Amino acid sequence: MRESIKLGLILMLIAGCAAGALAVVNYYTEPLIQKQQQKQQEDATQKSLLEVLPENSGGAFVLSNELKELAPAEIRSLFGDVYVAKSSTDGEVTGLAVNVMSKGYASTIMLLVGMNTNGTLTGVRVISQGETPSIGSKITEPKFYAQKAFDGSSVANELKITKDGGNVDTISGATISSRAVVRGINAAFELYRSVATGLGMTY
Amino acid sequence: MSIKKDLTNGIARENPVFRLVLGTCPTLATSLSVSNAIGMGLAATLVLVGSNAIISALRHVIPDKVRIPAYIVVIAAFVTIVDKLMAAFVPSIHSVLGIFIPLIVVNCIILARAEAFASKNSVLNSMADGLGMGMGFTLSLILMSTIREILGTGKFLVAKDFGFAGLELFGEKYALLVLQKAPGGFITFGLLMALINLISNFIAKRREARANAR
Repeated sequence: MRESIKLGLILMLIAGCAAGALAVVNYYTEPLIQKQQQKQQEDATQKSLLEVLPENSGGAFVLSNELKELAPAEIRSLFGDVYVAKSSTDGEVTGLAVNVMSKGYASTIMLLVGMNTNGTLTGVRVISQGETPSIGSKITEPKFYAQKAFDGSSVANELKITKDGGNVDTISGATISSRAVVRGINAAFELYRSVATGLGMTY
Repeated sequence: MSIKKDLTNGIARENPVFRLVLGTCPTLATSLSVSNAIGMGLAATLVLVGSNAIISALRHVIPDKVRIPAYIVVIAAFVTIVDKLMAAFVPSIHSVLGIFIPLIVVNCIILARAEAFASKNSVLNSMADGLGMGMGFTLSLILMSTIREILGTGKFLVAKDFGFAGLELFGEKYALLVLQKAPGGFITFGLLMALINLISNFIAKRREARANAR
């Protein structure tokens, strides 16, 4: 009896020291990690804005996070930054680009989805993800995110992967990751539908 | 044993991957490309040296009966520290290795060296052993990944995160895609192990013959 208490105490001491060391390391690295992640996501988003909305070449992307309030409450938390694309010549709205979070297999996938004022999908990019390397991570390859099924699809129709009866190619071995991307795009479509009339867009 | 001998022990004679057959899971998982292999190998080496040092320093404090949980706590703490430090200071390598870094905790090379070496030897010797084993692990990973990357993708030394597209040796359509998948990992591993056994048997036989001749 006494021995097991002694063993427990020693173990507790070791675990306590380890926890203390981790707390110190975490205290110093956490802000750095957060900053790195945020910076990475912001950089990637800025870099991809024109790629997902090529029609807005030369125009401005106006951060309009207040638009999220118009989306249905249950999906509101999925959205990151929302950008309204405005033409350089007359300031008219040319489209919508939105950061969407979607739960994948091993991580939360962050996408940037671009749609023009006709309600057509103009581009998808994966901003950040932590899916299984060389399996789920294939969502970051053009072969997947720039596939034909996305090209010109309308925000009025929900996208589905082939496995679920749709026409979006599924990455073999990564059904969940593929489905997550499609789910994110569908959420962006829903946001579009919620804000379309206010911005004078159609679908 | 001398420190130098402890250091070289892990690289060839008791190479953790091909001679002790430890840590095969991360070996198969992270040997897809040479850049991943180097990152994983160095991270594991760092943990090995650190955990061997701490466990060796605590070898008279840790009671025999609870040594395994104590080792696991020390190792897990080290892995988490390495994970955090990598995420903070080298985010590009960290993002490539992703889920494999936390998995260093269950890399049996580390627990095996704690149990078989660090718990019985001095701090300096244990650190040398950790470094040697880590180098052995890294070299084995590089060997495996060189074969799997070249034959599996037709490219060599691809490191996208460092802006290096790699050398294109031959077209992807001639590549053996299976080598990039799990079965290819097992095949490469098996063939390499056979080859290394062959070589070491040959060396042993020659040494014996020479001893007999004398």
